[in-house]
Amino acid sequence: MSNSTPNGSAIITKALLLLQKIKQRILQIDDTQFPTEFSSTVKNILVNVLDNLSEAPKKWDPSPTAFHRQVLQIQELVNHLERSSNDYVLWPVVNYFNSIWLELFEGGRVHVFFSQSTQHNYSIYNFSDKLFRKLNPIIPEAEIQKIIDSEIYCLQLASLEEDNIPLYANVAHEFGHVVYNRYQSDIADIWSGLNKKILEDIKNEIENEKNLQPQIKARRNKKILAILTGFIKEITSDIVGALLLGPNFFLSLYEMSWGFNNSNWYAILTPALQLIKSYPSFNFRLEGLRKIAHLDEFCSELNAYIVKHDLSTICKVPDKNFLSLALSKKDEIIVSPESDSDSVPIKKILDNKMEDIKVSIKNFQSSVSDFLIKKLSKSISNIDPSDISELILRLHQRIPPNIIPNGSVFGKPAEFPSILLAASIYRLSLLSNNNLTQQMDTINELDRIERLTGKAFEVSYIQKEFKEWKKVERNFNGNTS
Amino acid sequence: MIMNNLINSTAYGDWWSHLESINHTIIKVLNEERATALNDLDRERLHALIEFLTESYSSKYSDDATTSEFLSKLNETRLSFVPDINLLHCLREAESFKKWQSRSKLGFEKKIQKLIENIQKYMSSSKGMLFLKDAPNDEFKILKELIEKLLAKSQSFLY
Repeated sequence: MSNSTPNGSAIITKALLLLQKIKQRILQIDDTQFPTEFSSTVKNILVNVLDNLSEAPKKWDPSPTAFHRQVLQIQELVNHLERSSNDYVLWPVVNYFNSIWLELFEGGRVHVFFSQSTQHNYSIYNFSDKLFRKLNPIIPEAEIQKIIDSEIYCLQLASLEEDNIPLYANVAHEFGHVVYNRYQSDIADIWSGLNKKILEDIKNEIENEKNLQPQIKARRNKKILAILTGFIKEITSDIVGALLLGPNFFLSLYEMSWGFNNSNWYAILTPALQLIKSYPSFNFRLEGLRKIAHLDEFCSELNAYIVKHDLSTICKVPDKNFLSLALSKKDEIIVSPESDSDSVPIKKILDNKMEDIKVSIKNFQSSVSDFLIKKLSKSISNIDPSDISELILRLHQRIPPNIIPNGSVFGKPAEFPSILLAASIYRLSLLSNNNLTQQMDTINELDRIERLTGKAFEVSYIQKEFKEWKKVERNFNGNTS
Repeated sequence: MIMNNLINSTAYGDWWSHLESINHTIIKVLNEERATALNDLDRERLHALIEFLTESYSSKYSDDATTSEFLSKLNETRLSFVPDINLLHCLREAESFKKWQSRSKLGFEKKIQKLIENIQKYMSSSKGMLFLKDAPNDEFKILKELIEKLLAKSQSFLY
């Protein structure tokens, strides 16, 4: 072992002790509480990683301080595994999302495990990539690839599951990031075809900067490309969200935009290109989604049913006025952190090109939407406005919205997107008609809606499982008789 | 609160680990109590350094890669670093670099190219073991000074 670092041997010993404790933590996690099988896969991968890491100082002589840091960082992943438990995540909802995933990524080469975040938001990350990056400074790549032999994502569910109905639709957006990765080269071709002029203009603007070293010009150009790529990733994910869950995703994003400056675009710079994040403005995203989700037509049809069933006094369907966006402010981009010397110049360039960027992304939106409709045709939801009006009626009557009357004795079981949409529209209606004197009544009613909706998810999930079990049983009996 | 640099989980921490692991290899090369040869991890660290230097000190401001190629790079698992540091200034100020090849009267950019070439030559000199006795000492001393400057700057971002 190298003596190049002062106290190197002591640091390695500390790190190995920490490894031992982390392994004990992992082994104590109860597999029977995992919501799906892939949490077990992650557990096995992490145990394997720790076993390899305990040999790493002898085999590879990594930097002791880097080794210690990377072992500490792995704890983040262990935390996520610990929170992948039925104690933290609601199984009916997780299983719905899991079934959407299996349909989107059939073939089984890409997997997901579910964990609860400490934040009140949904997010997804590539667990395999993250683990690779934690190991990269301390173990050779060929060894890492032997340990991490499958592609697994982690979908983090928002904290306070009971208060999540507005956010559920965001899971479809998160899956959109994985769809983007899957079809990245086709999407890149669509984007490349549309953005040649903008990139040329940006390159020239950087080139014309006097007294700037070529290396800094190259760095800024790369960062801008990464920012633009981030925009199209978010837009692609939005489209997937709209295709999978219809108007649900629009309404969820709309609610998330409340209280913020919705004309701002964001770019967050980091020293690693792949970790630069960027987001188009809420206004831009919602404007595009409105068309893709056919929101206005849907709301208009739904309103006709609401009126027909005499529900206008209890539920106001979001119309154009309610969902109108504050478009008066000029879009600008906020580039952070300010301490990064590239942030101000990049902001200047992108603000100058903002209108061209918006046109280019709108064209991209249209092209990539056509592409995704073909690729995801099996998973696209087709929500019937008449079903939604029936479910809203049930909610108003304090009945779980899991059945749609269809003239038969038992009615038709409602699907997850329809249950979610009915709850979302009814909620928004209550919130929009809310005033201070009725606030407590509104709060109680909202609470009731969320509990009824949660119950509907459970029941409809059980109905779905029963139906599939019946099918298998019939086939089995048919084969054996 | 007492700052613990090791717990920083941002990209700045990743950049620091990346540099620290490279520095460890360079010190190994220059260490008097030498190991005989570099292992696979050391080779990867040096390759990563060469790649970083080549990209950072390229005389062209933009590579000719198409947008599609750049997008593929963004999808790579291994991180590509673009730190907010004036790398030319770091090298210009390095004493060991100033003294190196001082008689040859090479221009600054030519010197950088030669430095990178000499390291690359060493890396490709053997398909098997990379023996430390064959390493170009002066060039590695320059790299050590450069990496130490970068480490010092990167550490400030960990707070």
